[in-house]
Amino acid sequence: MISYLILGVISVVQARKYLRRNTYTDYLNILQSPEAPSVSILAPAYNEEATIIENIRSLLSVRYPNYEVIVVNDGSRDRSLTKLIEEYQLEPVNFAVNYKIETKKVKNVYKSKDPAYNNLVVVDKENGGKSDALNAALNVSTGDYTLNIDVDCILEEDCLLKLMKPFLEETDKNMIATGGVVRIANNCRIEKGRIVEVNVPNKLLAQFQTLEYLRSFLLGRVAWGSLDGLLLISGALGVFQKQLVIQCGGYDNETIGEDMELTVRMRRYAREKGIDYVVGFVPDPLCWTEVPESWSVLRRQRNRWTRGAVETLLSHKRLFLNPFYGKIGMVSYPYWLLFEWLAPLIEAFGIVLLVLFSLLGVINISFLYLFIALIYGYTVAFTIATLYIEEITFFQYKKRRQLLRLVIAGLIEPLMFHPFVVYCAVTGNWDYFFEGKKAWGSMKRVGFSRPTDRGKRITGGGKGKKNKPNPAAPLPSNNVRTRPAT
Amino acid sequence: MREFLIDIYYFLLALEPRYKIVIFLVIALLISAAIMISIVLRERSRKNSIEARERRIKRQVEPIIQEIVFTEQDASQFKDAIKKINRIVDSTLYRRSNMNILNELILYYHRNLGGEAFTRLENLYREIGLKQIALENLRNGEWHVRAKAINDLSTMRMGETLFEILQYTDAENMHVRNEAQYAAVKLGGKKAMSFLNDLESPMSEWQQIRLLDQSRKFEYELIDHIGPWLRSKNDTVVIFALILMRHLNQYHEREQLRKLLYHRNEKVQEKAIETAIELAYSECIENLYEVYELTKNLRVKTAVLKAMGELGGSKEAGHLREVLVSGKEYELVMAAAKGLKRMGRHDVLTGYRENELSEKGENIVKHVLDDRI
Amino acid sequence: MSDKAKILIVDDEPLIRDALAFKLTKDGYDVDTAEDGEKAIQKIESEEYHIIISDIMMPFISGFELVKILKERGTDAPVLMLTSLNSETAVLKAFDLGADDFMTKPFSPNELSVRIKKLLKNSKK
Repeated sequence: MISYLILGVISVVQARKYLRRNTYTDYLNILQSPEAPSVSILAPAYNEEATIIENIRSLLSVRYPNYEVIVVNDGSRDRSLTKLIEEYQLEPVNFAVNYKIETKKVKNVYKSKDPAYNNLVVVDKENGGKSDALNAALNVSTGDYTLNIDVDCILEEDCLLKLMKPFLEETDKNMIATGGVVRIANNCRIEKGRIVEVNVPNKLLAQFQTLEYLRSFLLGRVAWGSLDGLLLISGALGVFQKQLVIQCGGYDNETIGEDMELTVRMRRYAREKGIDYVVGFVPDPLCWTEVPESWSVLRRQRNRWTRGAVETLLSHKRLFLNPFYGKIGMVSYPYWLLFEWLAPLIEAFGIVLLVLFSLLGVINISFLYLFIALIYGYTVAFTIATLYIEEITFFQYKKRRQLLRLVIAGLIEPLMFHPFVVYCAVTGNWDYFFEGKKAWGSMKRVGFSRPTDRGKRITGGGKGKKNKPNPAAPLPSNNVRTRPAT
Repeated sequence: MREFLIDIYYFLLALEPRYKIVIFLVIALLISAAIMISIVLRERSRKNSIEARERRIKRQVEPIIQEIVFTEQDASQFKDAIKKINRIVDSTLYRRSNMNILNELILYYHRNLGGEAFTRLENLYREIGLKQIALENLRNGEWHVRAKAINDLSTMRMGETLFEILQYTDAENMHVRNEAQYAAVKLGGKKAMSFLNDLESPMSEWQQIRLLDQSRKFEYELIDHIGPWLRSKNDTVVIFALILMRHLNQYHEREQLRKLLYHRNEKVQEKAIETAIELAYSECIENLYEVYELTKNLRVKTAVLKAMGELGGSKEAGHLREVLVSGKEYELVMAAAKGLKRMGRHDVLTGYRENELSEKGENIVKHVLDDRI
Repeated sequence: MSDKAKILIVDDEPLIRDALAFKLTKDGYDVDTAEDGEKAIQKIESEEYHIIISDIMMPFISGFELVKILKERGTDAPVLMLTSLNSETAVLKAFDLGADDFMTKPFSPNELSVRIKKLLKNSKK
């Protein structure tokens, strides 16, 4: 708990420093510079026919002088590829794929007949999962840096400029990767692929996630980022030095949390090779994504996250308190272990004990109540502190009413949301260790269906897990995607 | 009601200490939460009023600025306009903040409108006192205030402040330093760039990009300091000098360029080769063979092959063919094939005996010959 | 129907729109503005403009796309691109897609006037 306090202070200082530094930064120079490093945007896609054209479109309008967009169709069973071919006038070309990393077979590589899209490359391959698709994209890429994005994220148009800046500003060490921040897009007004207005989500569940997200980001990531202790580059947004990624072996097909795993592995690799490296972090919100609004979808997501985290932690257990790995081994990894993995378990265990003891009369009931009240008060204070920090730094939620909503959500959260999260973590662990659900399980064949409501959002009904777009449902004809006012 | 409260009070007093502590903490936490919320709300309204003020000022000042910029005005009209603006921004409490708003507005116009609009805006900037404010900030502010001040002064082309700015080109704070260097090039020209002669602090790529952008106005002019820069101990200065050579067509100092092909820093080597290509320095090709053998760095090797393709003749074509057939790393084979295509040697690219090329090589040749990629 | 030439200004920055509108109205034109490519297309479909001035860097439908769409539809109003991008690639691409003129920011208002006059004169022939 005290650690959160320290991190909070560090975060504020760093966030202000960042904002000050960038008040007058003009990105126009690099935007037109022939010396801007080349970047490949890797966008794996599976069964995304409903939104793929729109998503790719926003990728192609990113502001950066020297980049390519590599879309990998991971054996979709729908019309994703056909739509792409039509929209962008694609034709297969004689691309010599460099199989630096083994992947499932690439069937074809397409480029557009239209010179306006000459930085678009579409790879069609057999289904192999998200990591496999990313690796295939790596094999085809020509840039020196790679940007991974989840296709359903909405990128700020300057995000690539902002993510590349740390690489270009670093003079002492070798910057191997930078990470950006993902924000919650539920209820934000989205027009033509851009966030026009930032709003607090309507549904309580999404509001809880907003708070959780803000806490972890403002009190965690910003601080860790400046201390260079970030263990996780948020999966949705990260720029990596391509050469290093390939030297590490690319993305791991076996894990669920492939982005976190890669980050940890890259750090280890760099350290083992004696590279004086650093990982950058850009606290600016650069990417927006929708969070689950239904408890069942959320449960699956959290379950997956827990299993992914456990898996990564275990496969890199060499780091634990190992001075050879410096900060990562001595501080970040143990912190992650304790607070992200063990904390929910300890908490669950503790609660069970407390209840047991009070029932057995070992502890005075009134003391138990008081204790609970203390924890509650503490959590609420923390949430308020987070909102305060958000006010004085990035100030995204401008309407007063929205702030109040968050405060109210903050009051309910410890009672409703937090226990649920702990429950998911516990079951996640159970599933991992005892049920052996190490891989994606049944999800693997289907692809990397993110348990979001994406399908629901598009078709206006039904669950989103397997993402079977309903061809009978009308697709949005205009471009304004306002959230349903449920 | 009172009795109820008194009862509670005595009840609490009678508890064991540990309960008291816990209750105390709970109350303290809730109170601090409430305090923070109220602070937040207060901040909000403050921000709102600031924004409202900003909008108001912009709305009032904008037409006056537009008049100044777009119409021919004589001295008295100009004075009137200044008076009007002063009246709008003047305020006991908010003058500073208003001046900031005005500052941003003028800078914005300056970035977008050129020609005679420049001079008019610059006059405005001086007369209304913003230049003075910037200078004060430069002398007395924190790092970010100073950096912004320098940035503003260079954007508004306040050449008379150059001397003062030059003192900061090697400042301790990186941001101040970078802004000062940028201003030096923008306002001072080639002479002012002499700070590169002794620069010890490293120049980031970002800074190099910015300086290159400003240096464009020297294109085709002779930059005589490039020689010493190419020999600098500061590798970033060397790289920057190479970038200048390349993009600003500086054709002298080719001997030094040749020496740089053997530099111990591989990035410098790579940049040197790229520069040689750009300047069509074909005399260095013999050296390139040596460099190719000596280096283990894949990027340098690839750059060498590219250079051979751009600058070489049949001997180089032969070497490229060898690399192509050798079937080594993909990058090298690809570079060799591309080089041959660049030379126009399609005969070499297609004239192979059966099985002379590996499958990878054949794929690469097909790739290179496909014009659509 | 006035016989003043009608100009459409397309730029996502309001200050620029206002400034240009001010200047060009003073010059004697009938000025209309649009804040992005899509709105511009809507306006062009409903009214006739004699010349279109467009920024390049705009959200979603960039100036490049706008020019392309307009030329494909056969709009014969000349299109002048006004942008902060000044790289050779941008210039080439603009003309390739069918733009009639190209100016970089910071731009001289007088130069803009002169170019507009010329484009209007040419298109009348």
